[in-house]
Amino acid sequence: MIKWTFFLLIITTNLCLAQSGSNTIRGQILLPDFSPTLLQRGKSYRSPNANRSAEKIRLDGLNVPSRNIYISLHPKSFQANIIQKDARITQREKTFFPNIVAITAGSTVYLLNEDEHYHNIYSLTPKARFNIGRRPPGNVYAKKITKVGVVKLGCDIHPEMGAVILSLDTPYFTKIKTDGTYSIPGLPDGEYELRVYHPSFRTHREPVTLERGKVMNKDINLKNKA
Amino acid sequence: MKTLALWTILLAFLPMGLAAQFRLDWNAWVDLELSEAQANSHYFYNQIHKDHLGWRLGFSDINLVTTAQLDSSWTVQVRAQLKRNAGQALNEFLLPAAFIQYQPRQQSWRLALGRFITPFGSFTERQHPKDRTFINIPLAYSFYQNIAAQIGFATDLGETKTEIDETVLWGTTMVYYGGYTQGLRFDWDIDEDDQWIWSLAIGNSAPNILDQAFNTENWGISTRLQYRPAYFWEQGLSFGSGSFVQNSSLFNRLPSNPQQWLLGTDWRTGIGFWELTGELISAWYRSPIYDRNTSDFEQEEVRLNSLAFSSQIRYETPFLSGLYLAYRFDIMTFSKVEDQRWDEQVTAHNLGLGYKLNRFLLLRLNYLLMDKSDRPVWEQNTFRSTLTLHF
Repeated sequence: MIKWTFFLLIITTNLCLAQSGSNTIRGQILLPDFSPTLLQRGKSYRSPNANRSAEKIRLDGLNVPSRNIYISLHPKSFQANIIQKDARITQREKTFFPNIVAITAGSTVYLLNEDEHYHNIYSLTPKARFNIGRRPPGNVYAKKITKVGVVKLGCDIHPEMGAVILSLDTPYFTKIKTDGTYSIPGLPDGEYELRVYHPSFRTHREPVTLERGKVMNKDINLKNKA
Repeated sequence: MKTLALWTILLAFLPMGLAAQFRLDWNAWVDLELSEAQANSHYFYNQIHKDHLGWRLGFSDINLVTTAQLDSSWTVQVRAQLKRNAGQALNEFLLPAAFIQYQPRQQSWRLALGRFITPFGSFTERQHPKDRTFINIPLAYSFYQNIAAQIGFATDLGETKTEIDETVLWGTTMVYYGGYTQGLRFDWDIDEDDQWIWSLAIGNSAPNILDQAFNTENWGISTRLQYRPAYFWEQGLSFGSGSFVQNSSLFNRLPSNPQQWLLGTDWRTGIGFWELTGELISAWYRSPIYDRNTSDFEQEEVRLNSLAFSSQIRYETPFLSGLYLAYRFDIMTFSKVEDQRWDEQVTAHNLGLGYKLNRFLLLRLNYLLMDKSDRPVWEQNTFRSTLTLHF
C-alpha cells in the first residue's frame, strides 16, 4: 500500500511539473532577402558625414538587421508572474548599442554614454515621453520603463541616432540566435499569443496552445513589411 | 537649365538602379507657415515681403532629398526644393544640392563633386527645420548688404530701387543663406574620436553667392576646422574667400570683379537641458563702386568691412519632452566709408518656442524684435510660426 501511494505521488508530481512549466517552443525565423530595398525612407537630409556611423552599424554584430528580432509569448489563459529584468543601452561612436533591447514592463534601462562627447536621449513615444538632457562621457542614467509596447529613442544632438526599447507584458521572450533559430523553454501549459517583432516588419501575431510538456516547432516567415 | 540638370540626374539614376547594391533613401519635409509683420518689413531685412505684412497662412517650403547609395563607397545626393520666391508666391524651384561623393570603406575622408553644403560656419549644416531652433535665419545668412553681385557696392541698395536688366538688385548676404556652393569638397575626420574635423571646398564662388551656380567668372574657397577641446564644447574656425560677379549688361564695364574674404568662428556648448551656440563672422570686400546717377562705375575701388555676431541659448524642458524655449541675439555692424554710407547697424532679438508633437510633426513659434538704426524703431518686428511635416 505504501509502495503504491509513493508510486502515485511520484506520477502526480511529474504530471504537475509537466503541466506547469516544461513546454518549449522553438523554430526558425525566415526573412526575405535582407539586401537593402531599392527605395526607403532614410536620413537623406543629413550631411553625408553621417555615413561613417551607418557603416559602423553594419559592422557591429549587435546591430545587424537580421538579428533585430524578438520572439515573445503572451499568456491568454493565465496570468504570468512578471519579473523585472533590467537592461542597458550604450551610446558609442554616435550609435546606440544594441539598437533594440527587450525588457519586461516596469524594468529599468541603464543608458550609458561611452563616447568622448556628450549625448542626449529622448523619447516622443506617447505615454513614454522623456528627455534626460545632455550627459557627459561615462554617465549612466537609469530610466524605468512602465509603458508596454515599443518606445523609440533618439539623440537630439545627433539626429541620425535611433534605438528601440521593446517593453513586454510577459516574461517569456528571447532574441533570435545568430543562426536564425530561437528557443523559449519553461513555458507553462496554456494558450498564448506568439509575437515576432522586427522594426522593418509588421509584428507577426499568432495564437498557440502549449500543453503536456511538449516541444512545439514553429517556423515563421516574416514577409509583411511595415 | 535646372530642369535639364534634374532630368540628367534622374536619367543617371536609372542605369545605376540595375546595380546590385543600389539603394535610394528619401526624406521630405513641408513647412506650413503663419506670419504677421510690422510696416517696415522687407524680405532683405526680416524675410517677410512687404506685400505680405498681414496675417498670412500658406505653404512656404517643400523639400525632397534623395541619397542614392551606389555601392559601399559611392553616393549621389540630390535635394529638390520648392520655396517662396523672395517671400512671395510658392513658385521658386531650386536644386540646392546635387553631388556625387566618394568615401572609401574604413577611411575617414570623403570627396564630393557637384553642388553641396558649404563648409563655412556652423549654420550651413542645419538645413532641416529640426536642426534650426528658430524660423528666422541669423543676420549673417539673411541680411542683404549693399553690395550686389552684378554691380558691386552701391549706396542705399536696399532703400533705393536699383534695377539692372529688369531685375531689382538687393545686394547679397554675408554667407548665402541656403548654405550651398558648388565645386569640389574634401572632408577629413582627422582622429578616431572626431575630435578634429577638417573640411575644404574649392569652387567657383565666394560664400555669399546666391545664384548662377556655374558662372565661370568666379572662384572661391571655404574651409572649416572643428576642434572639441572638452566633451561639452565644440569650436569651429572658418575661412572663405573668392569673387562673386554675375553676368549683366554692365558686366563688360566693370573695372574689376568684387571680392570677398570671410573669417569666422563658431561654438557649441551645453550641459543638462541647456545649450549655448554662437558665431562671429567678419567679412571684407573689395569692390567697384556703382554710381546710380551716372549708371556707371567710378574709377576707384572701395574696401568694406562688416561684422556679424550671433548667440543663441536654448532650454529643453525636462518635464515635457520635445518642448524647448530659446533666445537668440544678433548684431551686424558696418565699417565707415568716406562720403559713402555702407550700411547701418542692425540688431535682432529672436524669441522662440518649439514642440515636437511626434516623430513627424514639429511646431515652431518665433517672434523677432528687429532694430535697424536708420529705420523707425522696431518696425521690422515679425511673428512667424511653422508647422513642419517631415518624413
